[in-house]
Amino acid sequence: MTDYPKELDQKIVLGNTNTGRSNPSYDPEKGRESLAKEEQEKFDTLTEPVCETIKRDLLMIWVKLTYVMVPRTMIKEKAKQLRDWDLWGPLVLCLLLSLCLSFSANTDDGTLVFQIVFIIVWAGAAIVAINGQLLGGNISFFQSVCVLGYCLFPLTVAAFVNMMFLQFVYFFIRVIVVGVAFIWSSYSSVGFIAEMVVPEKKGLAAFPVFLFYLFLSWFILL
Amino acid sequence: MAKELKEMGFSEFNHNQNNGGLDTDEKPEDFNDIKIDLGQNQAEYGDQKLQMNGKGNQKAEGRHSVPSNDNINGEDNDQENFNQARLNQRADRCCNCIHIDYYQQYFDVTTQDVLQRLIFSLIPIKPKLEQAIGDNPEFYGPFWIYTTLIFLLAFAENLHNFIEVGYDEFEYDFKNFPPSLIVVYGVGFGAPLVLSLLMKWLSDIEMKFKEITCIYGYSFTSICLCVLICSLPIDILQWIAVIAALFVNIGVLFLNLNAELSKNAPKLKWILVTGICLLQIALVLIFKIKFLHMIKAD
Repeated sequence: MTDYPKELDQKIVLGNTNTGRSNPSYDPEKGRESLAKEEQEKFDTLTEPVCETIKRDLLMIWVKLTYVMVPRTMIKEKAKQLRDWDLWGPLVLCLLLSLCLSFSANTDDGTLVFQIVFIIVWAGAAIVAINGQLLGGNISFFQSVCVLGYCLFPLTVAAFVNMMFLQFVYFFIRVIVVGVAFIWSSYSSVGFIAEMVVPEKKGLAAFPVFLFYLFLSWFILL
Repeated sequence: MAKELKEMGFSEFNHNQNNGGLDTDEKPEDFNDIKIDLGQNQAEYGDQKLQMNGKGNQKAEGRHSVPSNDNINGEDNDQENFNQARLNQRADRCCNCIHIDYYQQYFDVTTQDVLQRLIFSLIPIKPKLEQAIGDNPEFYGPFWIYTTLIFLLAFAENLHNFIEVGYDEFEYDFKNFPPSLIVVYGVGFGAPLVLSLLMKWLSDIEMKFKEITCIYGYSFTSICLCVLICSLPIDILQWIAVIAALFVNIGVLFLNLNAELSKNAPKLKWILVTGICLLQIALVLIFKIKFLHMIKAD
Protein backbone atom coordinates (compact mmCIF):
# COMPACT_ATOMS: atom_id res chain seq x y z
CA MET A 1 0.00 0.00 0.00
CA THR A 2 1.43 3.40 -0.86
CA ASP A 3 1.85 5.98 1.88
CA TYR A 4 -1.11 8.24 2.39
CA PRO A 5 -0.81 11.40 4.46
CA LYS A 6 -2.66 11.67 7.77
CA GLU A 7 -5.10 14.31 6.52
CA LEU A 8 -6.47 11.88 4.01
CA ASP A 9 -7.06 9.33 6.72
CA GLN A 10 -8.96 11.90 8.69
CA LYS A 11 -11.09 12.60 5.64
CA ILE A 12 -11.77 8.92 5.32
CA VAL A 13 -13.15 8.68 8.84
CA LEU A 14 -14.98 11.98 9.09
CA GLY A 15 -16.27 12.31 5.57
CA ASN A 16 -14.94 14.20 2.61
CA THR A 17 -16.17 17.74 2.80
CA ASN A 18 -14.38 18.74 -0.41
CA THR A 19 -16.64 16.77 -2.62
CA GLY A 20 -19.57 17.38 -0.32
CA ARG A 21 -20.07 13.75 0.45
CA SER A 22 -20.62 12.67 3.99
CA ASN A 23 -20.49 8.93 3.71
CA PRO A 24 -17.41 8.14 5.71
CA SER A 25 -15.88 4.76 5.40
CA TYR A 26 -14.48 3.14 8.47
CA ASP A 27 -12.24 0.68 6.72
CA PRO A 28 -8.98 2.43 5.88
CA GLU A 29 -8.08 0.31 2.88
CA LYS A 30 -11.42 0.65 1.15
CA GLY A 31 -11.62 4.25 2.20
CA ARG A 32 -8.31 5.20 0.64
CA GLU A 33 -9.26 3.79 -2.71
CA SER A 34 -12.66 5.42 -2.83
CA LEU A 35 -11.24 8.68 -1.55
CA ALA A 36 -8.60 8.70 -4.29
CA LYS A 37 -11.31 8.10 -6.82
CA GLU A 38 -13.47 10.89 -5.40
CA GLU A 39 -10.66 13.41 -5.43
CA GLN A 40 -9.91 12.59 -9.03
CA GLU A 41 -13.54 12.98 -10.00
CA LYS A 42 -13.60 16.36 -8.32
CA PHE A 43 -10.75 17.59 -10.44
CA ASP A 44 -12.48 16.32 -13.55
CA THR A 45 -15.60 18.36 -12.83
CA LEU A 46 -13.66 21.61 -12.88
CA THR A 47 -12.97 21.32 -16.57
CA GLU A 48 -16.39 20.31 -17.80
CA PRO A 49 -18.81 22.77 -19.39
CA VAL A 50 -21.34 24.55 -17.18
CA CYS A 51 -24.40 22.96 -18.68
CA GLU A 52 -22.96 19.55 -17.85
CA THR A 53 -22.69 20.55 -14.22
CA ILE A 54 -26.19 21.97 -14.17
CA LYS A 55 -27.58 18.89 -15.87
CA ARG A 56 -25.90 16.67 -13.34
CA ASP A 57 -27.23 18.67 -10.40
CA LEU A 58 -30.74 18.67 -11.84
CA LEU A 59 -30.54 14.93 -12.34
CA MET A 60 -29.44 14.55 -8.72
CA ILE A 61 -32.42 16.58 -7.54
CA TRP A 62 -34.75 14.52 -9.73
CA VAL A 63 -33.40 11.23 -8.42
CA LYS A 64 -33.98 12.29 -4.84
CA LEU A 65 -37.47 13.52 -5.69
CA THR A 66 -38.32 10.11 -7.09
CA TYR A 67 -37.24 8.63 -3.80
CA VAL A 68 -39.63 10.89 -1.95
CA MET A 69 -42.47 10.30 -4.39
CA VAL A 70 -42.42 6.57 -3.91
CA PRO A 71 -41.83 6.18 -0.20
CA ARG A 72 -40.92 2.97 1.58
CA THR A 73 -39.03 1.51 -1.33
CA MET A 74 -35.98 1.54 0.87
CA ILE A 75 -33.56 -0.07 -1.50
CA LYS A 76 -30.12 0.57 -0.18
CA GLU A 77 -28.84 2.58 -3.14
CA LYS A 78 -31.71 4.98 -2.90
CA ALA A 79 -31.14 5.41 0.80
CA LYS A 80 -27.47 6.00 0.12
CA GLN A 81 -28.27 8.67 -2.44
CA LEU A 82 -30.17 10.63 0.16
CA ARG A 83 -27.08 10.52 2.32
CA ASP A 84 -25.28 12.52 -0.35
CA TRP A 85 -27.07 15.56 0.88
CA ASP A 86 -27.53 18.73 -1.05
CA LEU A 87 -29.60 21.80 -0.26
CA TRP A 88 -30.59 22.81 -3.80
CA GLY A 89 -33.71 20.69 -3.81
CA PRO A 90 -34.96 21.96 -0.45
CA LEU A 91 -34.27 25.55 -1.48
CA VAL A 92 -36.18 25.22 -4.75
CA LEU A 93 -39.10 23.48 -3.06
CA CYS A 94 -39.21 25.99 -0.21
CA LEU A 95 -39.22 28.92 -2.62
CA LEU A 96 -41.97 27.35 -4.72
CA LEU A 97 -44.05 26.67 -1.64
CA SER A 98 -43.63 30.19 -0.28
CA LEU A 99 -44.44 31.73 -3.65
CA CYS A 100 -47.57 29.61 -4.13
CA LEU A 101 -48.80 30.43 -0.66
CA SER A 102 -48.10 34.13 -0.95
CA PHE A 103 -49.90 34.33 -4.30
CA SER A 104 -52.93 32.50 -3.02
CA ALA A 105 -53.18 34.56 0.15
CA ASN A 106 -55.08 37.81 0.15
CA THR A 107 -52.95 40.61 -1.29
CA ASP A 108 -52.21 42.40 1.96
CA ASP A 109 -50.80 39.29 3.47
CA GLY A 110 -48.58 38.15 0.64
CA THR A 111 -45.22 39.32 1.95
CA LEU A 112 -45.97 38.28 5.49
CA VAL A 113 -46.94 34.79 4.41
CA PHE A 114 -43.83 34.40 2.27
CA GLN A 115 -41.60 35.45 5.15
CA ILE A 116 -43.28 33.21 7.65
CA VAL A 117 -43.27 30.12 5.47
CA PHE A 118 -39.64 30.58 4.47
CA ILE A 119 -38.47 31.08 8.04
CA ILE A 120 -40.59 28.25 9.39
CA VAL A 121 -39.31 25.81 6.80
CA TRP A 122 -35.64 26.41 7.53
CA ALA A 123 -35.91 26.99 11.26
CA GLY A 124 -38.24 24.02 11.63
CA ALA A 125 -35.93 21.75 9.65
CA ALA A 126 -33.00 22.87 11.78
CA ILE A 127 -34.86 22.22 15.03
CA VAL A 128 -36.03 18.81 13.91
CA ALA A 129 -32.51 17.88 12.83
CA ILE A 130 -31.03 19.02 16.15
CA ASN A 131 -33.74 17.09 17.97
CA GLY A 132 -32.76 13.96 16.08
CA GLN A 133 -29.14 14.42 17.02
CA LEU A 134 -29.98 15.04 20.67
CA LEU A 135 -31.90 11.79 20.78
CA GLY A 136 -28.72 10.01 19.81
CA GLY A 137 -29.22 9.81 16.09
CA ASN A 138 -26.30 8.83 13.94
CA ILE A 139 -27.12 11.04 11.03
CA SER A 140 -25.60 14.40 10.26
CA PHE A 141 -27.46 17.68 10.60
CA PHE A 142 -27.47 18.46 6.88
CA GLN A 143 -28.71 15.04 5.91
CA SER A 144 -31.79 15.56 8.07
CA VAL A 145 -32.38 19.03 6.65
CA CYS A 146 -32.00 17.60 3.14
CA VAL A 147 -34.54 14.84 3.75
CA LEU A 148 -37.07 17.16 5.37
CA GLY A 149 -36.67 19.61 2.52
CA TYR A 150 -37.20 16.99 -0.17
CA CYS A 151 -40.23 15.59 1.63
CA LEU A 152 -41.86 19.00 1.22
CA PHE A 153 -42.55 18.03 -2.37
CA PRO A 154 -46.13 16.71 -1.83
CA LEU A 155 -47.05 19.81 0.13
CA THR A 156 -45.67 22.02 -2.63
CA VAL A 157 -47.76 20.16 -5.17
CA ALA A 158 -50.84 20.56 -2.97
CA ALA A 159 -50.20 24.30 -2.60
CA PHE A 160 -49.80 24.64 -6.36
CA VAL A 161 -52.97 22.68 -7.06
CA ASN A 162 -54.81 24.78 -4.50
CA MET A 163 -53.64 27.98 -6.06
CA MET A 164 -54.41 27.08 -9.66
CA PHE A 165 -57.49 24.92 -9.59
CA LEU A 166 -59.22 24.84 -6.27
CA GLN A 167 -59.84 28.47 -5.47
CA PHE A 168 -63.53 28.24 -6.09
CA VAL A 169 -64.28 24.77 -4.93
CA TYR A 170 -65.80 23.55 -1.71
CA PHE A 171 -63.54 23.82 1.27
CA PHE A 172 -63.96 20.13 1.94
CA ILE A 173 -62.13 19.14 -1.22
CA ARG A 174 -59.20 21.33 -0.25
CA VAL A 175 -59.11 19.60 3.10
CA ILE A 176 -58.87 16.22 1.38
CA VAL A 177 -56.12 17.33 -1.00
CA VAL A 178 -54.02 18.89 1.75
CA GLY A 179 -54.68 15.94 4.05
CA VAL A 180 -53.40 13.49 1.46
CA ALA A 181 -50.31 15.62 0.87
CA PHE A 182 -49.63 15.82 4.59
CA ILE A 183 -49.89 12.05 5.06
CA TRP A 184 -47.66 11.45 2.04
CA SER A 185 -44.97 13.87 3.26
CA SER A 186 -44.99 12.47 6.76
CA TYR A 187 -44.87 8.88 5.55
CA SER A 188 -41.85 9.59 3.34
CA SER A 189 -39.84 11.39 5.93
CA VAL A 190 -40.72 9.17 8.88
CA GLY A 191 -39.33 6.17 7.02
CA PHE A 192 -36.00 7.88 6.85
CA ILE A 193 -36.05 9.47 10.30
CA ALA A 194 -36.92 6.19 11.97
CA GLU A 195 -33.82 4.61 10.54
CA MET A 196 -31.62 7.11 12.27
CA VAL A 197 -32.54 6.53 15.93
CA VAL A 198 -32.99 3.55 18.19
CA PRO A 199 -36.43 1.93 17.72
CA GLU A 200 -37.53 2.94 21.22
CA LYS A 201 -37.10 6.59 20.35
CA LYS A 202 -38.70 6.46 16.92
CA GLY A 203 -41.89 8.17 18.09
CA LEU A 204 -39.94 10.91 19.78
CA ALA A 205 -38.03 11.69 16.59
CA ALA A 206 -41.14 11.50 14.43
CA PHE A 207 -43.38 13.79 16.49
CA PRO A 208 -41.56 17.04 15.60
CA VAL A 209 -41.71 16.05 11.94
CA PHE A 210 -45.49 15.68 12.20
CA LEU A 211 -45.75 19.02 13.95
CA PHE A 212 -43.65 20.68 11.25
CA TYR A 213 -45.69 19.33 8.35
CA LEU A 214 -48.93 19.96 10.21
CA PHE A 215 -48.05 23.61 10.59
CA LEU A 216 -47.28 23.89 6.87
CA SER A 217 -50.45 22.01 5.90
CA TRP A 218 -52.51 24.34 8.00
CA PHE A 219 -50.94 27.25 6.15
CA ILE A 220 -51.84 25.73 2.81
CA LEU A 221 -55.37 25.06 3.94
CA LEU A 222 -56.15 28.47 5.28
CA MET B 1 -12.94 -18.43 27.04
CA ALA B 2 -13.99 -17.35 30.47
CA LYS B 3 -10.89 -15.22 30.76
CA GLU B 4 -11.56 -13.44 27.48
CA LEU B 5 -15.14 -12.78 28.46
CA LYS B 6 -14.12 -11.43 31.82
CA GLU B 7 -11.65 -9.12 30.12
CA MET B 8 -14.44 -7.77 28.00
CA GLY B 9 -16.30 -6.95 31.16
CA PHE B 10 -18.78 -9.76 31.46
CA SER B 11 -19.39 -11.15 34.89
CA GLU B 12 -21.49 -14.07 35.89
CA PHE B 13 -25.21 -13.49 35.99
CA ASN B 14 -27.09 -16.67 35.48
CA HIS B 15 -25.74 -20.14 35.13
CA ASN B 16 -26.84 -23.72 35.22
CA GLN B 17 -23.69 -25.16 36.62
CA ASN B 18 -23.45 -26.87 39.98
CA ASN B 19 -20.06 -25.52 40.82
CA GLY B 20 -21.32 -21.94 40.70
CA GLY B 21 -18.82 -20.69 38.15
CA LEU B 22 -18.30 -20.45 34.46
CA ASP B 23 -17.73 -23.78 32.85
CA THR B 24 -14.19 -23.47 31.64
CA ASP B 25 -14.03 -26.94 30.15
CA GLU B 26 -16.29 -26.12 27.29
CA LYS B 27 -14.51 -24.16 24.66
CA PRO B 28 -16.41 -22.69 21.74
CA GLU B 29 -15.07 -23.23 18.27
CA ASP B 30 -14.87 -19.53 17.87
CA PHE B 31 -16.61 -16.47 19.14
CA ASN B 32 -19.50 -16.99 16.76
CA ASP B 33 -20.93 -19.42 19.27
CA ILE B 34 -21.42 -16.60 21.71
CA LYS B 35 -24.43 -14.38 21.20
CA ILE B 36 -23.77 -10.91 22.45
CA ASP B 37 -26.67 -8.54 22.87
CA LEU B 38 -25.39 -5.01 23.22
CA GLY B 39 -28.87 -3.61 23.67
CA GLN B 40 -29.43 -5.63 26.86
CA ASN B 41 -25.73 -5.80 27.77
CA GLN B 42 -25.93 -9.54 28.00
CA ALA B 43 -24.24 -12.45 26.36
CA GLU B 44 -25.43 -15.99 25.88
CA TYR B 45 -23.25 -18.95 25.35
CA GLY B 46 -24.99 -22.25 25.24
CA ASP B 47 -27.12 -22.24 28.33
CA GLN B 48 -25.12 -19.68 30.23
CA LYS B 49 -26.13 -16.10 30.46
CA LEU B 50 -23.69 -13.39 31.36
CA GLN B 51 -24.32 -9.83 32.33
CA MET B 52 -22.12 -6.93 31.39
CA ASN B 53 -20.95 -5.15 34.47
CA GLY B 54 -20.38 -1.45 34.74
CA LYS B 55 -16.69 -1.46 33.89
CA GLY B 56 -17.07 -3.11 30.56
CA ASN B 57 -20.01 -0.97 29.60
CA GLN B 58 -18.04 1.50 27.54
CA LYS B 59 -20.43 1.99 24.72
CA ALA B 60 -23.61 2.83 26.57
CA GLU B 61 -24.47 6.44 27.31
CA GLY B 62 -27.12 6.94 29.95
CA ARG B 63 -29.67 4.21 30.22
CA HIS B 64 -29.93 3.39 26.57
CA SER B 65 -27.03 2.24 24.50
CA VAL B 66 -25.84 3.81 21.29
CA PRO B 67 -27.89 2.41 18.42
CA SER B 68 -26.12 -0.52 16.83
CA ASN B 69 -27.12 0.57 13.37
CA ASP B 70 -25.84 -1.84 10.83
CA ASN B 71 -27.28 -0.15 7.81
CA ILE B 72 -24.46 2.20 7.06
CA ASN B 73 -21.79 -0.19 5.88
CA GLY B 74 -23.32 -3.50 6.70
CA GLU B 75 -20.51 -4.13 9.13
CA ASP B 76 -21.09 -3.94 12.87
CA ASN B 77 -17.42 -3.87 13.71
CA ASP B 78 -16.82 -0.64 11.86
CA GLN B 79 -19.68 1.06 13.65
CA GLU B 80 -18.38 -0.04 17.03
CA ASN B 81 -14.89 1.17 16.22
CA PHE B 82 -16.31 4.49 15.12
CA ASN B 83 -18.36 4.83 18.30
CA GLN B 84 -15.33 4.02 20.38
CA ALA B 85 -13.28 6.59 18.50
CA ARG B 86 -16.01 9.13 19.06
CA LEU B 87 -16.09 8.45 22.78
CA ASN B 88 -12.35 8.81 23.01
CA GLN B 89 -12.53 12.06 21.13
CA ARG B 90 -15.20 13.26 23.52
CA ALA B 91 -13.11 12.54 26.56
CA ASP B 92 -10.16 14.51 25.24
CA ARG B 93 -11.71 17.80 24.28
CA CYS B 94 -12.20 20.80 26.50
CA CYS B 95 -15.30 23.01 26.62
CA ASN B 96 -17.78 20.20 26.37
CA CYS B 97 -20.88 22.29 26.52
CA ILE B 98 -20.69 23.66 23.00
CA HIS B 99 -20.98 20.21 21.48
CA ILE B 100 -24.32 18.55 20.93
CA ASP B 101 -23.15 15.30 22.50
CA TYR B 102 -23.02 16.96 25.88
CA TYR B 103 -26.72 17.71 25.79
CA GLN B 104 -27.72 14.18 24.88
CA GLN B 105 -27.83 13.34 28.56
CA TYR B 106 -30.84 15.62 28.93
CA PHE B 107 -32.79 13.80 26.23
CA ASP B 108 -32.25 10.25 27.33
CA VAL B 109 -35.78 8.87 27.27
CA THR B 110 -37.91 6.50 25.19
CA THR B 111 -41.29 6.95 23.52
CA GLN B 112 -42.90 4.67 26.07
CA ASP B 113 -41.61 6.78 28.97
CA VAL B 114 -42.83 10.01 27.45
CA LEU B 115 -46.30 8.65 26.73
CA GLN B 116 -46.58 7.32 30.25
CA ARG B 117 -45.56 10.65 31.75
CA LEU B 118 -48.02 12.52 29.55
CA ILE B 119 -50.87 10.33 30.75
CA PHE B 120 -49.86 10.63 34.37
CA SER B 121 -49.65 14.39 34.10
CA LEU B 122 -53.39 14.45 33.48
CA ILE B 123 -54.26 12.65 36.71
CA PRO B 124 -54.45 15.03 39.69
CA ILE B 125 -55.25 12.32 42.22
CA LYS B 126 -51.99 10.67 43.09
CA PRO B 127 -48.42 11.86 42.54
CA LYS B 128 -47.87 9.34 39.79
CA LEU B 129 -45.96 11.72 37.57
CA GLU B 130 -43.16 12.02 40.06
CA GLN B 131 -42.97 8.27 40.39
CA ALA B 132 -42.87 7.92 36.65
CA ILE B 133 -40.07 10.42 36.33
CA GLY B 134 -38.10 8.71 39.05
CA ASP B 135 -34.46 9.47 38.62
CA ASN B 136 -34.56 10.30 34.94
CA PRO B 137 -35.74 13.83 34.36
CA GLU B 138 -35.37 15.13 30.84
CA PHE B 139 -36.03 18.17 28.72
CA TYR B 140 -37.60 16.53 25.68
CA GLY B 141 -41.11 16.48 27.15
CA PRO B 142 -41.17 20.05 28.48
CA PHE B 143 -39.60 21.56 25.36
CA TRP B 144 -41.95 19.92 22.89
CA ILE B 145 -45.00 20.52 25.05
CA TYR B 146 -44.17 24.23 25.10
CA THR B 147 -43.60 24.23 21.34
CA THR B 148 -46.90 22.44 20.77
CA LEU B 149 -48.59 24.94 23.04
CA ILE B 150 -47.26 27.88 21.02
CA PHE B 151 -48.36 26.23 17.81
CA LEU B 152 -51.80 25.53 19.25
CA LEU B 153 -52.18 29.12 20.46
CA ALA B 154 -51.47 30.47 16.97
CA PHE B 155 -53.64 27.79 15.39
CA ALA B 156 -56.56 28.32 17.74
CA GLU B 157 -56.56 32.07 17.35
CA ASN B 158 -56.45 31.94 13.56
CA LEU B 159 -59.00 29.17 13.35
CA HIS B 160 -61.28 31.21 15.56
CA ASN B 161 -60.90 34.21 13.26
CA PHE B 162 -61.45 32.00 10.24
CA ILE B 163 -64.70 30.61 11.57
CA GLU B 164 -65.94 34.05 12.57
CA VAL B 165 -64.99 35.89 9.43
CA GLY B 166 -65.20 33.34 6.65
CA TYR B 167 -62.80 32.45 3.91
CA ASP B 168 -62.85 35.59 1.79
CA GLU B 169 -61.99 38.15 4.42
CA PHE B 170 -59.73 35.99 6.49
CA GLU B 171 -56.34 37.44 7.33
CA TYR B 172 -53.54 35.78 9.21
CA ASP B 173 -52.79 37.39 12.50
CA PHE B 174 -49.37 36.61 13.86
CA LYS B 175 -48.96 39.67 15.99
CA ASN B 176 -49.27 37.52 19.07
CA PHE B 177 -46.72 34.97 17.96
CA PRO B 178 -43.51 36.54 19.34
CA PRO B 179 -45.12 37.45 22.68
CA SER B 180 -46.49 33.95 23.06
CA LEU B 181 -43.06 32.53 22.25
CA ILE B 182 -41.44 34.66 24.94
CA VAL B 183 -44.12 34.07 27.54
CA VAL B 184 -44.29 30.32 27.14
CA TYR B 185 -40.59 29.60 27.00
CA GLY B 186 -39.80 32.26 29.58
CA VAL B 187 -42.30 31.06 32.14
CA GLY B 188 -41.78 27.44 31.23
CA PHE B 189 -38.09 27.45 31.93
CA GLY B 190 -37.91 30.54 34.13
CA ALA B 191 -40.43 29.60 36.78
CA PRO B 192 -38.70 26.32 37.66
CA LEU B 193 -35.40 28.19 37.72
CA VAL B 194 -36.76 30.77 40.15
CA LEU B 195 -38.34 28.04 42.21
CA SER B 196 -35.17 26.03 42.51
CA LEU B 197 -33.16 29.12 43.37
CA LEU B 198 -35.69 30.08 46.04
CA MET B 199 -35.56 26.62 47.49
CA LYS B 200 -31.81 26.73 47.62
CA TRP B 201 -31.77 30.18 49.19
CA LEU B 202 -34.58 29.93 51.70
CA SER B 203 -33.87 26.45 52.88
CA ASP B 204 -31.18 23.95 52.24
CA ILE B 205 -33.06 21.64 49.96
CA GLU B 206 -31.34 20.68 46.79
CA MET B 207 -34.30 20.25 44.55
CA LYS B 208 -32.76 20.15 41.20
CA PHE B 209 -33.69 22.34 38.30
CA LYS B 210 -34.06 19.37 35.97
CA GLU B 211 -36.70 17.66 38.06
CA ILE B 212 -38.79 20.74 38.66
CA THR B 213 -38.67 21.68 34.97
CA CYS B 214 -39.74 18.20 34.04
CA ILE B 215 -42.76 18.17 36.35
CA TYR B 216 -43.70 21.73 35.43
CA GLY B 217 -43.38 21.07 31.71
CA TYR B 218 -45.50 17.95 31.77
CA SER B 219 -48.19 19.75 33.76
CA PHE B 220 -48.75 21.98 30.74
CA THR B 221 -50.36 19.06 28.91
CA SER B 222 -53.74 20.00 30.31
CA ILE B 223 -53.28 23.60 29.17
CA CYS B 224 -52.48 22.37 25.65
CA LEU B 225 -55.71 20.41 25.54
CA CYS B 226 -57.60 23.39 26.88
CA VAL B 227 -56.24 25.68 24.16
CA LEU B 228 -57.16 23.13 21.52
CA ILE B 229 -60.74 23.09 22.77
CA CYS B 230 -60.81 26.88 22.94
CA SER B 231 -60.39 27.08 19.18
CA LEU B 232 -64.07 26.26 18.83
CA PRO B 233 -66.25 29.36 19.07
CA ILE B 234 -68.56 28.12 21.81
CA ASP B 235 -68.35 30.29 24.92
CA ILE B 236 -69.52 27.82 27.54
CA LEU B 237 -67.26 25.10 26.25
CA GLN B 238 -64.27 27.41 26.40
CA TRP B 239 -64.83 28.40 30.01
CA ILE B 240 -65.45 24.83 31.07
CA ALA B 241 -62.23 23.81 29.37
CA VAL B 242 -60.30 26.60 31.09
CA ILE B 243 -61.60 25.73 34.54
CA ALA B 244 -61.00 22.02 34.08
CA ALA B 245 -57.50 22.61 32.80
CA LEU B 246 -56.66 24.87 35.73
CA PHE B 247 -57.98 22.31 38.16
CA VAL B 248 -55.96 19.48 36.65
CA ASN B 249 -52.84 21.59 36.26
CA ILE B 250 -52.74 22.93 39.79
CA GLY B 251 -53.68 19.54 41.20
CA VAL B 252 -50.87 17.80 39.37
CA LEU B 253 -48.30 20.43 40.33
CA PHE B 254 -49.40 20.51 43.94
CA LEU B 255 -49.33 16.76 44.41
CA ASN B 256 -46.07 16.17 42.66
CA LEU B 257 -44.11 18.97 44.24
CA ASN B 258 -45.76 18.31 47.56
CA ALA B 259 -44.11 14.99 48.10
CA GLU B 260 -40.71 16.53 47.72
CA LEU B 261 -41.45 19.70 49.66
CA SER B 262 -43.17 18.30 52.73
CA LYS B 263 -40.27 16.00 53.41
CA ASN B 264 -37.86 18.82 53.87
CA ALA B 265 -39.54 22.18 54.36
CA PRO B 266 -43.11 22.04 55.62
CA LYS B 267 -43.29 25.74 56.39
CA LEU B 268 -42.26 26.91 52.97
CA LYS B 269 -44.59 24.49 51.32
CA TRP B 270 -47.72 26.56 51.52
CA ILE B 271 -46.05 29.77 50.40
CA LEU B 272 -44.49 28.18 47.38
CA VAL B 273 -47.53 26.21 46.42
CA THR B 274 -49.75 29.26 46.66
CA GLY B 275 -47.28 31.18 44.53
CA ILE B 276 -47.36 28.50 41.88
CA CYS B 277 -51.14 28.37 41.85
CA LEU B 278 -51.43 32.10 41.36
CA LEU B 279 -48.90 31.98 38.57
CA GLN B 280 -50.75 29.25 36.75
CA ILE B 281 -54.09 31.03 37.06
CA ALA B 282 -52.54 34.22 35.73
CA LEU B 283 -50.95 32.34 32.85
CA VAL B 284 -54.10 30.62 31.72
CA LEU B 285 -56.10 33.80 31.95
CA ILE B 286 -53.49 35.57 29.86
CA PHE B 287 -53.76 32.86 27.26
CA LYS B 288 -57.49 33.03 27.25
CA ILE B 289 -57.94 36.77 27.18
CA LYS B 290 -54.99 38.09 25.29
CA PHE B 291 -54.18 35.35 22.84
CA LEU B 292 -57.53 33.93 22.18
CA HIS B 293 -59.56 37.05 22.35
CA MET B 294 -62.67 37.02 20.36
CA ILE B 295 -63.23 39.54 17.65
CA LYS B 296 -66.58 41.13 18.06
CA ALA B 297 -68.13 41.90 14.70
CA ASP B 298 -67.99 45.62 14.22
